Amino acid sequence: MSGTTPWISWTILAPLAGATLSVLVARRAVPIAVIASAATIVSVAATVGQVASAGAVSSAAGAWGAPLGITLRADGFGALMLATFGVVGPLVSLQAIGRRGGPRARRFLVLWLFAWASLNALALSADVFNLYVTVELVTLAAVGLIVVERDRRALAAGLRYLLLSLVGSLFYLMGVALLYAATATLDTELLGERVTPEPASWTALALMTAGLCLKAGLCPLHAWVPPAYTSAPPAVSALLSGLIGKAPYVVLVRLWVEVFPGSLGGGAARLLGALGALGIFWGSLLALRARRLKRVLAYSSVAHVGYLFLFFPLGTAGAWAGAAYVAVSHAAASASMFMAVEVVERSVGHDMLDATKGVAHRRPLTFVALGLAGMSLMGLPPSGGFVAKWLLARAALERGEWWWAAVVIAGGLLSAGYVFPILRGAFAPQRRSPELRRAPRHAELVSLSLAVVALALGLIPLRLMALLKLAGRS
Amino acid sequence: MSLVDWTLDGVLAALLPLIAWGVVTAASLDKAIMLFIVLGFVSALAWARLDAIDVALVEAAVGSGLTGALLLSALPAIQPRLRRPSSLARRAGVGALLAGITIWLGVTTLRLPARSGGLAELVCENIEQSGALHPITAVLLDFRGYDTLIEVAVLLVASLAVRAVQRPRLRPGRRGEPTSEPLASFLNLLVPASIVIAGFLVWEGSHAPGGAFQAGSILAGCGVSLQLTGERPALRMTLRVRAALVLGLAVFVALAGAPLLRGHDLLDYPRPWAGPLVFALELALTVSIAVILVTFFPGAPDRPEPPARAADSP
Repeated sequence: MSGTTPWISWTILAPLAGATLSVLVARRAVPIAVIASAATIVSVAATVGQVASAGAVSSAAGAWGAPLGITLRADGFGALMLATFGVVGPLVSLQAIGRRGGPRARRFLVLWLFAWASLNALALSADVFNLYVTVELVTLAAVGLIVVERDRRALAAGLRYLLLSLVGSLFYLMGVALLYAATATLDTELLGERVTPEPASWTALALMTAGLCLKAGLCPLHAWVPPAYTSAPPAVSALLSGLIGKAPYVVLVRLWVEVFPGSLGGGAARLLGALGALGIFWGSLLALRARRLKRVLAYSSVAHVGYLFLFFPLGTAGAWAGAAYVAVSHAAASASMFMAVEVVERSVGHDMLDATKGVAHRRPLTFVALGLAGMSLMGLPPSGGFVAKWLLARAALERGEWWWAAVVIAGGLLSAGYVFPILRGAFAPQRRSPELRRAPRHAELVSLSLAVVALALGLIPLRLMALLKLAGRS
Repeated sequence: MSLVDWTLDGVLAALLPLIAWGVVTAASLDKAIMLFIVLGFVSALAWARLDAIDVALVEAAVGSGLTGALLLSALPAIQPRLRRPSSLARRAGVGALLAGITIWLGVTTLRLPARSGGLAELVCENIEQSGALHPITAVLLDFRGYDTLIEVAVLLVASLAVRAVQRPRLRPGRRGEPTSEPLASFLNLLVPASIVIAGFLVWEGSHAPGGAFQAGSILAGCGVSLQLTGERPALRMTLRVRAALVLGLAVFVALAGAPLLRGHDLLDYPRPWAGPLVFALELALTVSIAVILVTFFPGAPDRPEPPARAADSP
């Protein structure tokens, strides 16, 4: 690491230290979380700055280096994910900080810091076994977050997520064992050089992909998604849908792009793309039929996981930029929508579709947030969602595979079908405006800021693109 | 291999699938759990026969012992709510799918080229520079110490998540009935013996099979026995307990961060000190792993209580 400040390592150690300390000094969990978050944000910003100015940064844990040790590497993709986690996550966690203590808020903050450390570690890991360990930490922190309010339904949903997720992990781990047996290394770069087309390596790819698809909630393996996203507290759903749901996808991309680049665009990749398309249609249709706001958003997340998988059959740099942009813009937009639902639910007492009635007048900030984030989910210009879908559709047409572009456009239309009723309801005239309960002000502001981020992503795409190009692989 | 070796391995190889079949088809849950514990024990023997002593120790302590105890202590809570098994067709379908995957994996594994011992050679070449003389400890706490750092965080998070869902009435300092005489005298032997064994395993870990995970799980087993027999109340989250919970991770994070301040890579122990630092880390991890594993247990099982005590429980 000669000479430069090791910010890359601090992005993992700072939240981890904060989490450890706040378990010990539980009463001071909130100030500790604030300090740890600030330190993490500084480290993330500095790492992203280093990558943007000088290209990929790496660090060898224990100074051993591959293949004996583990390498941390921040390339363009890693930096982009770090930035996403570092903007969306702390904003969502503000709602717990805003609640000022209380055992639930403190538990939330501790688990969020662990989740953040593991997400950063996952984005930076260049070792397939270490990726497994980080995925496990992400999963367990997510389970802890789902059950954070000790709600019975959330407990069942959390357990279901845990069990399915563990099955996914075991499949991934079996793949790691096969790869190690065949190549005697776990480092992604070395694996990319050493993997040969033999039964062991494609078996490994199949096992690892299947496990990660289950964890990512790719249709038809999405059974755990709706119960988890709807029974967890909205702030947790925001983190799950926006950030934690992206983690298995990040690992999957590393696997396909760095270890098995030859498989991109092949038959197995087309199968993943087809499942993605299925997810877009099935998720959107279920979202259209859903009667509760949280359910709409949960199924919308299933659909958006589908977009991410359209990268595999296309496999070009353009498709790659599109998929990465879907990940980033959906993180902001979905988190914003969930936080807005939190405000609506607290004000009205439920989250049925008609709960938004009159929100435009009574909660204008939330209404603006719903509108802006909804634009991004639908893919209307000038939002981040628009840029993402446009990039994907263009990449499909460039390869002459128009059917993928058709899927993207149809998905956009369907999403308009489930976002509009939410916004229309907000305008609906109210004969007698019911007494609204007090809603958390900071949740409104968080939702609005996230929506602005989702919108801004549509206005500054070029700078982020430049960052992604540094990955410059596919 | 001598005849004795062949017989021993043959018996183990025949027993494992038989016991596994017994676990799946057992008529009742408690039988299945008993067989599961036996399965763990026999596979520990199999690992020992394969010269994987570290794996054998963990399998015996965690896979068989603690997991078995956890299943048994959960049994009263799940038994009455157990649903009837799903239809034969469905079970046959799942079974066929799993059998297919297993056969496929078996064939793939057998067809692997027998060329590599993985990184074993590289580990042995570098072991002098690492903080331990036993290759497995060197991999766990030095070469791939960063993995273990995150795994310790996994354990701590699991403990926090379990605590979040434990029913409060089972948690704070409850005690069961007074221990019976034979049980008490058994505990009198068990507790000091397991403390000595755990200490021995930590010490051995630096140059022979053993180490923090094995020692920690044996200590945890001792704690769990005390708790399940009602000899000691379930752990309360006092400052001391919380300190023991986070000690391992805190030391690990400090060891990871300190080199960064001096401009080195994370977890890059200063080499002359690597041995003592790794040993200190092992000690801290042993304590934390033991306490974390104990927190997975819900405390003394429910027993009918005199009304006076029931009234003041929340």
